[in-house]
Amino acid sequence: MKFLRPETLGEAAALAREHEDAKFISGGTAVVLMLQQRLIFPTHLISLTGVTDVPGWREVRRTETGLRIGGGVLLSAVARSAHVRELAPSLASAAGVVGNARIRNQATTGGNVAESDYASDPPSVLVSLGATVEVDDGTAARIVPAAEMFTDFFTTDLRTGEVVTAVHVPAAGPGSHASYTKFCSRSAEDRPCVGVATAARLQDGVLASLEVVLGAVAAIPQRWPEVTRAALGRPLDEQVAQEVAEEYAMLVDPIDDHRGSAWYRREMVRVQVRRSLLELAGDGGAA
Amino acid sequence: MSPALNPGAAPLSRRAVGDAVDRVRGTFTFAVDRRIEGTLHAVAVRSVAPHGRITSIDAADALAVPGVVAVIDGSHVAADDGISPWYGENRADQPVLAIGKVRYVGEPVALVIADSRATAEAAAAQVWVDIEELPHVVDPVLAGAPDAPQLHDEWPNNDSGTWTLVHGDAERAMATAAHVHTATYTSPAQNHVPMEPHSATGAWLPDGSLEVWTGTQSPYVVRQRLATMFRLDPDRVRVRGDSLGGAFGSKIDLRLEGLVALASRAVGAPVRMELRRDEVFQSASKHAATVTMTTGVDEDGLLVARIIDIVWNSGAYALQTPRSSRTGMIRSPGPYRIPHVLARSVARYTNTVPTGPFRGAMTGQVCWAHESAADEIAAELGVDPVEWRRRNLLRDGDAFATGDVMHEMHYVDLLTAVDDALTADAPPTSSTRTRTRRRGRGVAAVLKTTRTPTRSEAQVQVDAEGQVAVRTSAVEMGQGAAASLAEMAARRLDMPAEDVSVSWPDTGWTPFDQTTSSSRTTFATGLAVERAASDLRACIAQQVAQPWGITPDQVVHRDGCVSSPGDPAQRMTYADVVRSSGAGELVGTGRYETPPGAGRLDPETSQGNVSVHFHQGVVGVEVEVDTETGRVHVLRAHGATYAGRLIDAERARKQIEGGMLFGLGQAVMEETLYEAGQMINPNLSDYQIPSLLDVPLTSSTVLSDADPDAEPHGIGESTVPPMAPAVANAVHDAVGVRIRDLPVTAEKVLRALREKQADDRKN
Amino acid sequence: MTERTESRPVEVAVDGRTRAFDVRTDETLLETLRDRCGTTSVRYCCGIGVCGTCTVLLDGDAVSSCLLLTVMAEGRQVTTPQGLAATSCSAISSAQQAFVDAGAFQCSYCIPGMALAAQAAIDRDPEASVDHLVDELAGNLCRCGSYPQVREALERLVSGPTDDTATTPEEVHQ
Ligand SMILES: Cc1cc2nc3c(=O)[nH]c(=O)nc-3n(C[C@H](O)[C@H](O)[C@H](O)COP(=O)(O)OP(=O)(O)OC[C@H]3O[C@@H](n4cnc5c(N)ncnc54)[C@H](O)[C@@H]3O)c2cc1C
Ligand code: FES
Ligand code: FES
Repeated sequence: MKFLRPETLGEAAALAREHEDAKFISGGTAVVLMLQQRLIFPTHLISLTGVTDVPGWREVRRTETGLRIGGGVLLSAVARSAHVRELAPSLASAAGVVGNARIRNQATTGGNVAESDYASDPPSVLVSLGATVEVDDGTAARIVPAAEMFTDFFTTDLRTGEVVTAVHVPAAGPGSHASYTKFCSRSAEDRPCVGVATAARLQDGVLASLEVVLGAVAAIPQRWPEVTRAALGRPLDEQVAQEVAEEYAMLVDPIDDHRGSAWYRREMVRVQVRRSLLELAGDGGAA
Repeated sequence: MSPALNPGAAPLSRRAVGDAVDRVRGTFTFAVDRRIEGTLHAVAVRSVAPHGRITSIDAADALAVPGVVAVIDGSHVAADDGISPWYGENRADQPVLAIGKVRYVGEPVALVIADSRATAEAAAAQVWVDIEELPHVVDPVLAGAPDAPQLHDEWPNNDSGTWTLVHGDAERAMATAAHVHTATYTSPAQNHVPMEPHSATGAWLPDGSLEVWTGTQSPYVVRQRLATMFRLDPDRVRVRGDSLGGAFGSKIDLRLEGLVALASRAVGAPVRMELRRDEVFQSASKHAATVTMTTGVDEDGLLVARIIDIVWNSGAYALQTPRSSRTGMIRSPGPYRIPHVLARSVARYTNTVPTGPFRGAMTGQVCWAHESAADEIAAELGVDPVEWRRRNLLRDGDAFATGDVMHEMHYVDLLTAVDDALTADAPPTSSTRTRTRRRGRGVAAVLKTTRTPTRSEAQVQVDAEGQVAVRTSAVEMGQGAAASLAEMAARRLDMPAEDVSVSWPDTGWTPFDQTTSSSRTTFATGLAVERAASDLRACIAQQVAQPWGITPDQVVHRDGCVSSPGDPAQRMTYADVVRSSGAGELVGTGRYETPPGAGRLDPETSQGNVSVHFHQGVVGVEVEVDTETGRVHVLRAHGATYAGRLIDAERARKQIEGGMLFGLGQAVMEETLYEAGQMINPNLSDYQIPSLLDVPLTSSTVLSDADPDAEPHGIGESTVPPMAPAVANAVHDAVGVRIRDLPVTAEKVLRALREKQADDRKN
Repeated sequence: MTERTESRPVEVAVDGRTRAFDVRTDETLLETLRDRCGTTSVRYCCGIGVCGTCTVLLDGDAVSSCLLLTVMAEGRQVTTPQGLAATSCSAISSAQQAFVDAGAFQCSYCIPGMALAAQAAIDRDPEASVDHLVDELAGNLCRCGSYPQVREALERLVSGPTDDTATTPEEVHQ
């Protein structure tokens, strides 16, 4: 296995295209784990940490529409960033509950997105906030909505050689509220059994928009826009919370793992969606 | 790097008191830190089949990996006349490397020996093992069925130990009981998860003797096993131990020592092994058990009879199970006065990881049953569970189920201490109920026998520099054994404990000790050390008494010096005494042995004197249950135990409170899971242990005996077993559901709540 | 795959000293520290980033050395528990002192990593609350159940040195 440390994005992408069994590595929390467990056998590791030509690679910047979080930004930096806490507080809290302090100090935003781990916290939040992912293969860049980025267990829309260069998060406008709930069924240090990301905007006391996205219950973040759309125009109250929770619990087709059976996950979807929405309501959303 | 193998070298020793800085900085070393120059590294190739015949092992690809020195497997072992490969405490049913057959996933099938661990690891993946699979069984109850797969031809019906206890006539008495309660309680296989993995280095010396450095709890047991395995006189085997980063029973008896000795024999160089975490999971397990308990009480709620049936899962090999399953059975009636007891215990082989002692060995499983039952019975009688226990707990003069007449019984005081602590500063349960969070309290008590018969020997010596050294084969593994032994010696010698060093175990130098387990060290090894220190003290006094013209008992000992009471000029340090004696050092010896006959039980009825001490523990917890998620949060826990003569209150507190936290994981989250005969969660992500955020506030009570001649009692395990039933009892108190299958997971609690709601609606 | 994995020269600053190694590309920093540097304070337990016994600081932030390839640490500053105070004049750091004062250990296998993580957290935020430190240390597991004493150590760390129990260098045994 060769360890390569290209200095430009173009070089990195070219190397990835050149070697069929090459793998990008950023923080390495997922890659090194899989190497240790002999789950992957790459011929080349292409480190993205030495790349110098991606603007804002390791920075959180305010943009006209909101935030741009560089692909190389550590999750601990996302959690601590004053910009993120102000403009996308639910993302800050999701980044702040990933794994443990050491994982957050090592794992990157780009790596987290590219890994598409089902038992992960940030992806559902990115989807709930309408975030977009900026990807670049050194020759062309494109923008992929977060909702389309995650395609299956550990699978994304990324093509060979494409690097996640940044994540764009639209700023929360007036009347917006968002939350992330990580429900762990065993130790407090566990990965999520169920994650619930919510985002709502209230206008004149009624819901002008609502997003509810489930994490860790299926291969990729789950949402049912027809359900949340039905709540628009109504106040965010106990009844709406209850209805959305019931619908989500009915529609979800949950997985079974060490953290809970499908039955239990469905029950937790019902409980946690309701609680998350009520938390939003308590946050100032209540009519 | 530590010294190369050096057969003449004295045992290593260190100061046991005042090592805090080294421990916190990390310069304090453990067995796994021991590296010996010129060592090769071995990695085991392990079975991926739960049960099967080995049809071929092809090591050619592995041998072609640069750096690989040798690959050995069971066929080499079986063909070597110098080796008797089968071992086990009670029956030699386990091969050091699989011979012909594999019996669990993870069983060592071959060893790859290479110049580095990484090379050996990579090459091990290229040893091709063909196994013709046989039907497998993982459930001990199914393993008893007539048509079940048989693991060992020599041991029919997968029987790895069958025992009974007969005390009075339980069946007859049960018929007269005013009220009878029956229930079945199950507990799963769990892992010790010592933070430090197992490691060992073995080397054959030019004179044909064997030396092994190892992270073991039982150096002398390892020596015996190796001597038998390699057909050597035990004196030709030297087992050198070191401090352990936790063990909890997982490092007892032969672990890696046979493998490294074998590997070293094959390649003629020292060979080291260190386990990965998944291999630690595949090396030892707690016995899963199913306990059915039928209890009869009279109109006053007093126990009249108890009938207990236990099925233990011993895993693929017996190790200690044939003996320890009986020990567990004996503890199964619980710490109660029960005139009639019948207990039947059977242990069965299954195609799962071999089992061994587990902190509070063989007691958690039965305590789970009798303490859950205690609350169920009290509830059926409409009596407060604390009150019910108070009425039935053993007191001095009562007979235990073995016929032992009990003494030094402190259960009622322990229970009161726990109850007081729980009720002291918390508001009554009812006022703290909110819509979805309910609080409840629960208690549980345990009785544990200690290893009987048992024997420990010790030496305490002082040299011409005045250095005092304690030599024992006790193992320091976080329980504070070394510090306690140093203090016990220092007190007898009237000198500061900081100046006493304690040896690492080394069977070449340090005297016999049975094992560091069963909470026996402070008691058995400690008494031997005290006797050795007293012997040394007398020896020192003897040296000066005659020249000073006084009798030895007139000699005054203080701060590491002796003096004559009447004459201030007559004063010598211990170093001076040694120098003037002409000997290089003065040595005191001591030993502790349980009285003759102790521990001998009737083979049919298990009646007799089972134990010299009875470890007594009571735990109480307060929990909060989320009724919508089933999540159980243990908010606080109070543990109480009886310590006999207390050596150090701070260390006792850590053992008691740490024991509860160890028990917490077993109570609410720990379980090794099998699918298709394979353990599916052998890592700390899928198998979780409690973190700083999961633990309750803890507090403790230690009752002790102020008499300086009282014996110290073991306290390291007494709060582990009661934790799970205390939690389950508290959950019941909070939300009215009874979980009888460990661990008490959120999902189980929620399911039970749903069933209860459905039942309530029906009624 | 009969080839050995490739080696590669790297330079890493370990506890303030630049070290040059020729390491396998798949070698973890944990292996390098233990097997090549003889560092005993950095320890293996889970190997998957869960337990924290392998904690080191990478440019001042706590990370799991079992999840870091040594080649990834090229040109970076690695601090181990035993090297934490190497650059100051006291034998141990303030967080380590708090652990000593609280008697926060049983077997102590987990402790150096915990004290190191605590030091990094308090250095980053000297005003940190105990709850914040508990969150930062929640991913450092202890099987002996020394958690009550660990919490006490964190309380001491937050409230600052209270007495004169500071340890003198003579008490440090190598
Ligand atoms: C012990 C532990 C606990 C964890 N707990 C949680 C948890 O509770 N919640 C949670 O959400 N997650 C958890 N995780 C997962 C963690 O969030 C991911 O491992 C991490 O985010 C991956 O980021 P990284 O930078 O380390 O990626 P790497 O390991 O470097 O890479 C991951 C994948 O992404 C690719 N890649 C990396 N960077 C880029 C890029 N910029 N562009 C394109 N591809 C790229 C790599 O090729 C690889 O396929 C846990 C992980 C561990 C080890
Ligand atoms: S060994 Fe690295 S975190 Fe456990
Ligand atoms: S003190 Fe032993 S693991 Fe923490």
